[in-house]
Amino acid sequence: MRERTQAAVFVAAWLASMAAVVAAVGVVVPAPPIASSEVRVTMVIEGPGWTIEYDASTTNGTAFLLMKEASANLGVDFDYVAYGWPYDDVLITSINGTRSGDVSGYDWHYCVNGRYATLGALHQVLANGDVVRWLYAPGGGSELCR
Amino acid sequence: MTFRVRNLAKPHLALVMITVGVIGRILLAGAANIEPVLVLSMLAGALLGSYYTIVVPVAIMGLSDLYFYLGPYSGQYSTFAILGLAAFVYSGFVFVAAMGGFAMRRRLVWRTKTIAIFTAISVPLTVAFDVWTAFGDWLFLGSRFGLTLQEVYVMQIPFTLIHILSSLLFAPILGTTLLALHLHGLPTPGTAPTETPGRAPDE
Repeated sequence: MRERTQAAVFVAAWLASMAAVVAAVGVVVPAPPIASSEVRVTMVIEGPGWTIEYDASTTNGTAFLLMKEASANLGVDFDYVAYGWPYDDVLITSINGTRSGDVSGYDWHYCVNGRYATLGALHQVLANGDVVRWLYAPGGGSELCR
Repeated sequence: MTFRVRNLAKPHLALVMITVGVIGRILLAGAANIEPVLVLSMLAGALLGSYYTIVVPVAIMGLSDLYFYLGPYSGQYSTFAILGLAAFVYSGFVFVAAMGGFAMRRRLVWRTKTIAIFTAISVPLTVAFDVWTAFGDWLFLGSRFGLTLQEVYVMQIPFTLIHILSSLLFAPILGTTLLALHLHGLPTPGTAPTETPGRAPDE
């Protein structure tokens, strides 16, 4: 095969392989849910020396949107770092003035129905009766959520 | 304007790689796992070999880590976690550089095939690097979040796919550029040196 043909084949294969990887990322990391039907959920936030509870019937059916709703309704401030493509998710870094790392090694973690969350809060879909518990703790895992 | 070709000595080519690596890593920090360091490490092994296999990746990571840990990441991680992770990441890049040298040292010709092979090899090396560093991640950070090794590897999948995309993107771009510099030198403005009488130009 002539050098020029080889170069053209290589560029085509190169672009195709990158497109295939981008498509694979789309399969592995689904887009965050946009809307949900109304669900009855409870959120409990346990900070150092304080607890906030929030019950709602809401269409904001992800852990992050529920936090946003509670923040607006209760006047509790929170902060987060947004991650763009491909993750399109958030990491909550501060709730009610308590910031991750204020106490060395302490971060905000969350559990859903007593199980440690393995999804970002924007991807964590909530179902009827779910209880979301946010904890300010030095380590996560299933032990934390018991 | 006329140009003359100046051959680049190995230390100069290493300096180019280190500069590109440090600036690239810092500028691309917002895009997780999109980074030029892995491909530059492969190139250090393939084009320079010898102790550059260690010097180039370690210098890129060391200098950019200084920037990150004294700047934007300051106070976010314990010294134990930083040093532990660094051991895995640095050794991972040195392994990639060594493998780049092993696979490519005898194939350094100005052909499409060279870049195609280099690009293809970057994919399994990226996967190997991620398997190794995810283990370090679990050892030094994952336990902080109570994660099992299996959970860390599952969560690593999208990051590895992005890392493969990064390697696919940078391997032909940096590979072609640095291979050209290595084989043909750097064109600089100036008059071409006078040919020695009696010698053919290509001699």
